[in-house]
Amino acid sequence: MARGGHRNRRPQSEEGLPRRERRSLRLLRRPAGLFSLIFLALCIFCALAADRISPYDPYDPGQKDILHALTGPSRRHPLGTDSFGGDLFSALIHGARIALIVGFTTGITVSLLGAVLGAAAAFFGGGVDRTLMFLVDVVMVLPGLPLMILVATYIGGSYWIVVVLFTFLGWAGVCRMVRGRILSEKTVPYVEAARSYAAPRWRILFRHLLPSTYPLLAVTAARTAAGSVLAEAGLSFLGFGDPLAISWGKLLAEAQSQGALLFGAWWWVLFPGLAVTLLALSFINLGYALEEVFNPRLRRGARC
Amino acid sequence: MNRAYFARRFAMALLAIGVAVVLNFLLIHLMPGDPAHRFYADPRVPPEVKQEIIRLFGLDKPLWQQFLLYMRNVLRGELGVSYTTQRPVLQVIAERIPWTLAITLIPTFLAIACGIWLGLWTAWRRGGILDFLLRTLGTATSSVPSFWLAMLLVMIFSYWARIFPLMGMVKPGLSLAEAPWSFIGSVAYHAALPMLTLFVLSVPGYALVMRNAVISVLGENYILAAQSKGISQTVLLGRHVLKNAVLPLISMFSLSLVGVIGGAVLVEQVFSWYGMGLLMIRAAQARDFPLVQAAALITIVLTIAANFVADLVQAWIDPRIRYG
Repeated sequence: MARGGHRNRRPQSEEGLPRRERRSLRLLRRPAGLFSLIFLALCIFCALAADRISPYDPYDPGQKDILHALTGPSRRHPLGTDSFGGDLFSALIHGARIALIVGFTTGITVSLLGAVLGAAAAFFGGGVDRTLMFLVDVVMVLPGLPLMILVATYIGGSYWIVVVLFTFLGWAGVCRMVRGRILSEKTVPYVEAARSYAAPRWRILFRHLLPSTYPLLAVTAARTAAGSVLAEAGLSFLGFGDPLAISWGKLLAEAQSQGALLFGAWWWVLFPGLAVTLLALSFINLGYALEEVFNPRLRRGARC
Repeated sequence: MNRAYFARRFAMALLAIGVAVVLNFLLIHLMPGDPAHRFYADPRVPPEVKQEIIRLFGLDKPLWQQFLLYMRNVLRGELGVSYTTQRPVLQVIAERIPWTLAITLIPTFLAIACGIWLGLWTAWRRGGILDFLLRTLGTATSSVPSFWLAMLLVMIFSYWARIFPLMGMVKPGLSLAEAPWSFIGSVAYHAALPMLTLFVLSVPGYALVMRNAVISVLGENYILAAQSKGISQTVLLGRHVLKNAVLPLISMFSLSLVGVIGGAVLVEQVFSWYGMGLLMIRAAQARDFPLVQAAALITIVLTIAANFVADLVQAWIDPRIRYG
């Protein structure tokens, strides 16, 4: 596989380092992981310092450069302008906020809820297990986007709809995976050994069974984050995003409704979409990298 | 077909639909504000319709009675009257369903066919250029927003190359009754880009799943046995590998239907393709609540039904599921 080429390149130099440091180094060594980390850091920086670093204030109508409306990338506007002369570079910087809020919140809530319910199903078994698994089967076939539109029609557009509905729908997949992982880990010899020492059940669950799901959880959390970033962009694109806040999806919606495609304003379409794609890609790659960090069997230097 | 398996799956599908109906009902009543008010306060609703709505939904009765009434109405297919068109919502929606199914199902089936072929090929020639491309694109396409790709395709094929139309479904003036062939031709021409979008986005996923399945099947002992018999590569791949490797693809298909039918909204919006999705968006923008609600409910029912059929097909192909 692709990882094979780097096998055993520098196993010795790691030995002397403390454990935590070694882990973070591994994350950085994969090019995709490194790139994702850099892009994510860039997004976080943009979101935090948006007001300071963006050359124009996209929320201030007075700062629209109407004389340079709908112009391509230039020194004045590095990523071009929209049809009212709004600077797209500044808008992109401000749009990072919503994308990150949605991505991180759903990533955390979905995996937490899924892990708790999955562990409960595996731990209690019987009726609890059957009920939860039935709910999983039901929730798995509910389409997210139509439900989001339905809710948005009633309570008005907001990016919190994405967070709430993703949590409501997303736990099912995580729950099923965590349950399966715990059930299969239960039969592994070291867990049997722990049981033979008369270790209490909850202790086995928290010390041995749950940690074995961390690699899985890291991947699903990252995937969920990526999915929610895409869903938020989609919902904003359909006009159900936060009406007052600038988001990447909304920039694309404006490009669509104000005829960027008719005028060939490629920069207006290309850059916001690229930002969404790269952020989603970064989340997914980060998930794989984290999986490697948590799962010793996947590590490059590992011999099994 | 094993009857017990069928019965269990069918009960599951029915229950899932039931949960969706209950959710739909709860959603109206959990929303802030008086639901009854929301239903008939719209100035576009004439007074006699208002009385009819109050009677039909029992809005003056307690909640549990309203719920029973709602269930009865749903079972009868009475999902209400659209505010904007003053027609039964079911009728409005039924006209839009084929358009959405056409641009979602056709590219999905094409993508599966292509995915099977690509998966077989890349697994057989592991480490080749195609394999590398596939693995790179596989991660990339899962993070590309469908509507963005659609916009880029419009930019390339409609704005620069001027091969395909910008938007719409059919050349104005054509009708199915008068000139059926040129009507269908025009629709296909307009549907090309939306279909291409969905096709491009789903091929790598199917191909990757197929590739991994083929690789694991190739390691099985019966493949070695078949090879030692001296059968040709075509027979080996076509008969022994394909049959066993295609199973995960079918379960992936049934799961991806949820995303495909629901996600078509975005692509429909870009191309002004007037299917279920665009109907729902326009209804939502016009605050035509019964229409939005019914459209969401029917999308859910459609996905559940499609899933049910896919599960049956899977059980039909793979006896281990039926008796497992």
